[in-house]
Amino acid sequence: MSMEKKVAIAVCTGMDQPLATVSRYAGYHVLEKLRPDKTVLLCTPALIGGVQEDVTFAKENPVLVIDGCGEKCCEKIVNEAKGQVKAIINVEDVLKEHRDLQPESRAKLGPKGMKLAGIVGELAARKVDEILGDVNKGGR
Amino acid sequence: MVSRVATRRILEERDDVVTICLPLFLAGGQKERDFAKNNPCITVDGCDKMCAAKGVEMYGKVHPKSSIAISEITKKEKHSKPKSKSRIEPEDEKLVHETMKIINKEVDKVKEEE
Repeated sequence: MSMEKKVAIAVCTGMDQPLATVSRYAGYHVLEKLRPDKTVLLCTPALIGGVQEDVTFAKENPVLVIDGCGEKCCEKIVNEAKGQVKAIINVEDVLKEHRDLQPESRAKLGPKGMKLAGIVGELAARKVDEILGDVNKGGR
Repeated sequence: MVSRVATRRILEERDDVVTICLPLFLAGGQKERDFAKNNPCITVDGCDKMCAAKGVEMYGKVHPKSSIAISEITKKEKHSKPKSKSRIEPEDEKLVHETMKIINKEVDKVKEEE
C-alpha cells in the first residue's frame, strides 16, 4: 500500500507587505481549519538553505504555492529546489477581483484583510482537492 | 511566528532598523542583496536550521553581524515552545519580549561598532 500523499502548502514568508501576511493567514486557514488532514506547511527558507528533509518532501509531494505579490518568490524558490508545483495562487490577483478587501497593515489585517485571507484560503482548499484528485487518478 | 512578531515590533519601535524581504532576497532580488552587502545585517531565525542566516551567507555572500535563533532562546531561558503557527498566545509574550531584548542588544552592539 502506498503512503497517502499530502499537499505541501508554501506561503510567502516576507515581512514587508500586508499581502504576505494575507498569504500566511490563508495558508494557516487551510492547514488548521479547512484541510488539516490533507496538507502540511512547507518551509520555503529551508528549501533554499538545502535542508534535506524539506527538499525531499517538496520533491515527493505536490506543492500548492500561495504567493503574496507579483515577485512570485515562493514559486521561484520551490521551482529552484525542483519541487512539484501543482498549483499557484497569487494574493495580488485575488485582491484585483476583490478591490474592497484591502488589508490594513502587515501587522494587522483588519476585517477586510481577514476576509480576503478567508477567500484565498477557500480557493486554496479547492486547489488541494483538485490536486489530490489528480494524484489519486494516477497523475504525478 | 515569534521571530517575525519580535522583529516587526522592533521595526515599529526603532527608526534605525529596516527589514529586507527574505524570500525576495533568496529568490534573486538584486536590490535586497545589494542592501545586505552595503549594510550590517542581523538574522533572526525561528529554528536551529538557521535558514535565514545560511541564505544570507550563501546568496548574499554576506556574513551576518549577528545570528539569533529563537530555538536557542527557548532552550536557554526554559520557555515552552509556542503551540500555534498562526498567532502569539498570551503565554508566548514572554518569549517575544525576551527575543526583542536580544535583538535590541545586538542592534546597539552593531551600531557601536560602526
